[in-house]
Amino acid sequence: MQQNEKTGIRHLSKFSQFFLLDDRAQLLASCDSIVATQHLPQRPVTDWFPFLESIFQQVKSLQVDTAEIHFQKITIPHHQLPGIYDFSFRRIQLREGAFLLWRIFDYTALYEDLQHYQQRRNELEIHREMLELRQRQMRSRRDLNDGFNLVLENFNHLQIAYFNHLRRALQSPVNMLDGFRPEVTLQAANATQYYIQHLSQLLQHLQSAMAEWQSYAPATALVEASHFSPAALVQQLGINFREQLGQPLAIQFASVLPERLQGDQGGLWQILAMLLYSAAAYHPDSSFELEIRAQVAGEVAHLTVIVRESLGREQSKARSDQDDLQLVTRLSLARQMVEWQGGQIRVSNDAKQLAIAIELNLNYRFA
Amino acid sequence: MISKKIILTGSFGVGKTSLFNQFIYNRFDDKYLTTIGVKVNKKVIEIDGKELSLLIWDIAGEVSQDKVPNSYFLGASGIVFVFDLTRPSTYKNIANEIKYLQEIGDPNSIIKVVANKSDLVDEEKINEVAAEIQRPWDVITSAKTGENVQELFRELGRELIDAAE
Ligand SMILES: Nc1nc2c(ncn2[C@@H]2O[C@H](COP(=O)(O)OP(=O)(O)OP(=O)(O)O)[C@@H](O)[C@H]2O)c(=O)[nH]1
Ligand SMILES: [Mg+2]
Repeated sequence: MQQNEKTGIRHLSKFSQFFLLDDRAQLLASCDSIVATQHLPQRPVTDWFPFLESIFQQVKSLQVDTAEIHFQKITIPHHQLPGIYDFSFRRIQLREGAFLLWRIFDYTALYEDLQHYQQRRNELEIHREMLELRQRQMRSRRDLNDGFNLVLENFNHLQIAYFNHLRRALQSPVNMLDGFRPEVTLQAANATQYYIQHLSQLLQHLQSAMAEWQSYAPATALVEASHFSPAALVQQLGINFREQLGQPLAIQFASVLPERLQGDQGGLWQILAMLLYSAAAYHPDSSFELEIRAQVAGEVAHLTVIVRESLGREQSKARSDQDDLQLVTRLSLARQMVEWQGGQIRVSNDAKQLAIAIELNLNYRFA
Repeated sequence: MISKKIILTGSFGVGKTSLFNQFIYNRFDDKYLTTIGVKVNKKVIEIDGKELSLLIWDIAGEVSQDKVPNSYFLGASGIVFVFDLTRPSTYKNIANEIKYLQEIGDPNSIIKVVANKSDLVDEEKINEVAAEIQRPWDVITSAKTGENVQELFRELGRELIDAAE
């Protein structure tokens, strides 16, 4: 979290930027964390930014006390903003007058993952519709089989491409995703019926995974710095974990931990909770451990948190697509959230390729 | 110069992005790549010697329009509802969808209903859809061949200018 000297406006560095505009859309100040504004033409922002041009009348009518307007998932083709962003607009009162504050939040990584879900959901839904249409028209057994094989081929192809994408995106060891079953094999008898059923189920799962995914995005835009004790945070997490899952969580503290840090405490809590709760779903007999240590360099504390799970994903247990998707959703979200905070996340296995360790590295300032 | 915001909406996969690309860049791609959120771009056209800047919002398709974030409709002068002639699911609820758009959109906004993918259907199929659809379409297009694509946006642009005067 940084504070702009001129305006006092706070922003998350690197993944967000603010622009201060007057009512003629002239740019008065910015923090240049994503777009370097000094290279922009000295014309109203609406001239080089079609998005703003299209809603500037509405933005201008905002009053200091009216609620912020929020737009999610915006892409501008061929533009100096190359990713996928959320925008918010509000009018703020500064000493010199009331201005328009436009903030952008970079959610590219998260939304690209979301796009994969959406792509798959839509393609499957279209396949299903086509299949249902054809089924009505199809007369002979042979027609039916041909139609079915065509769809099945597409389906397997889709699944494989999708999981390969996830493997790359998460850079995770293969065994973490081994529960995924990319190949679907079906009996020819009644296959179409079965297939449509399977599709419907999968679509429902995708739908709920997407809903979960989206529920995280707006909240993270609201991060505000606060003071917190890392030891107390981890201890409280351990208590919640035990109460909610009835499983113990061993916590290892380094002998010296900073008393108070400054930063996004809620974000850290969310990340750790997400990792712990997904680890808990791997295997019914696992045990869990959380290790926390810190290294101090000047004003900054490098915090390392490791979540360990002892047995890995259970291979024998039949897992539903729902579990798999949820796991991947959570990991991918955790990755994005850690990135937002300028940190890193790494997943590794032990020698036997079973137990899983997830290591987080995050930097905080001392309070 | 007058500028107007137009929003492209309808179910997924019906060809909104393809119409957007055909209109703005004169190109078409057979491959389906779903739109996430909203893509915004503009094209300046000339109508009766007047320049008009069309700011087009190509949004992610939803089966039902009430799933589209309300903020996307803010300030839209034109709403283009696209459906796919080959997929009944994309037009079977059209009366309700249009009613919803009328409620959510600006009271003065102009709504156009577009039947897309005309290159994939024959005369007989078109008549069949026309007979069963609850609300007639305003224009029939093919983003692939370009049929009626420029005409759609020009006609809408003309009506928007007339309404503004
Ligand atoms: N033959 C034919 N194919 C079309 C036409 N318009 C779109 N398509 C194809 O239909 C598929 C979907 O097109 P898109 O333009 O991506 O659909 P969309 O409405 O933007 O979909 P979402 O972004 O998911 O809401 C693509 O494979 C296009 O190539 C058309 O007029 N004729
Ligand atoms: Mg699209």
